[in-house]
Amino acid sequence: MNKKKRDAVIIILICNAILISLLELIIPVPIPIPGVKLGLGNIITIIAIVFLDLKDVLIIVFLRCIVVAVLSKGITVLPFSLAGGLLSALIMWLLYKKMSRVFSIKGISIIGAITHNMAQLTVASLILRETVILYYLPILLISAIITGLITGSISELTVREIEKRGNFSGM
Amino acid sequence: MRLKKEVIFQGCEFILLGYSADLKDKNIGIDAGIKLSLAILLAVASSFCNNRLDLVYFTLYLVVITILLKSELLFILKNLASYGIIFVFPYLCGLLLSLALSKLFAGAIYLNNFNFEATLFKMVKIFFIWYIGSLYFFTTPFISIVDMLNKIFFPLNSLGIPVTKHLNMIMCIMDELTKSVIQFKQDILEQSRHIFKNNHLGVKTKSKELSNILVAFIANSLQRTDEIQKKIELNHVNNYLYTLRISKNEIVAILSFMIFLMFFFAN
Repeated sequence: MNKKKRDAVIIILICNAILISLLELIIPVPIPIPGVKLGLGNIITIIAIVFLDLKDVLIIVFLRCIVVAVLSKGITVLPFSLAGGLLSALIMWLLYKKMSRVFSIKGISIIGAITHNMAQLTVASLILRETVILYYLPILLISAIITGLITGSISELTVREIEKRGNFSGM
Repeated sequence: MRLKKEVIFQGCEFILLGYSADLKDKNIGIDAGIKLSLAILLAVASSFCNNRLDLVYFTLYLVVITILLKSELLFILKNLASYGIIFVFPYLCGLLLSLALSKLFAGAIYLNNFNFEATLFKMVKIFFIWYIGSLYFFTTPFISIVDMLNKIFFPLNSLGIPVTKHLNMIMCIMDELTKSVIQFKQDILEQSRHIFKNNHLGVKTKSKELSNILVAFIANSLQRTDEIQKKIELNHVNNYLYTLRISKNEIVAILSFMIFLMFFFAN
């Protein structure tokens, strides 16, 4: 795949991730805690991990975080979303490429969600210079397991279907 | 609850459509570069708030500039909400949990180390920085921010960091989102709503149905690869579009900021 086509695919996947995350408005979150989200945009990160290389995955997460920060919450959310997004993408990529015999896509998604929440809380703790905020971690970990499982299940089905259809063949 | 979700969705649409209007309207109130410099200086000044009176001065100044910049109330409320979710709520939960732990286990040291007032001060200062950043982004046309960033970071291109390419990609993403958000709402969102409203379907079936919708959506979007590729080639961020502009608005902004600083540090 040439560079420009690769860039076009990256742009499409970022748009898809942002649009898919809008589905969270109609899908009920099993744990009604402020800040707990399903993270449906993660489905696209997992698709990118399966079908593209690490550099593309990181570019997708990086640009998606910037666009979402600009469009919605304000740029000051960026350190949190970048820390969570990039670290979880890196961990999920490593697990998928090196330990796919041990971890299924569901498992990878759960670990990705846990990493994401841990990274965000660590950044908040570093900015506030308060360790007390880390007591919130168990709540976030439990929610990450549940939301990661839901996102992972949908991702697994989606990846299988894409593999069957060959949407990414030749990329 | 449903109404609240509709409002959020309409908010997303509003931002995206607002962005497209942004592209057409190039009238900038204050030069993006000067505004950024003032925003950075204001954020730095917030770290010098040492007493309650400083916080009051600062809050008043932020209220005044919010009104003058004609910022949307919806964005301010969203900012407050996201700040609360990211900092305040986890902090309060952590505080409650540590309190519970100290009651459950004798000799717990957690509570003795807390300095509530210092933490509150820190939280307010962080909120100021948070708010200044958001105010800048919500009151400055995105296209002029991109042009300015391209101009500032242009030398990085020669060092192998493709700043211009990535800014160009961001512009394409914004453009694509603006075009596809309404279509997405009409097709995918409605189909998904139909599935999740159906109480006869189990969780597994709902997941399967949703993944089918997503696969079709992704497959359809990937068919537009060539079209997007052409768009990238045509849509170039102009390296020399941004030029520093000093007019009446900029002079008033700088002067008012200097007057504020004089009062603030004289206090």
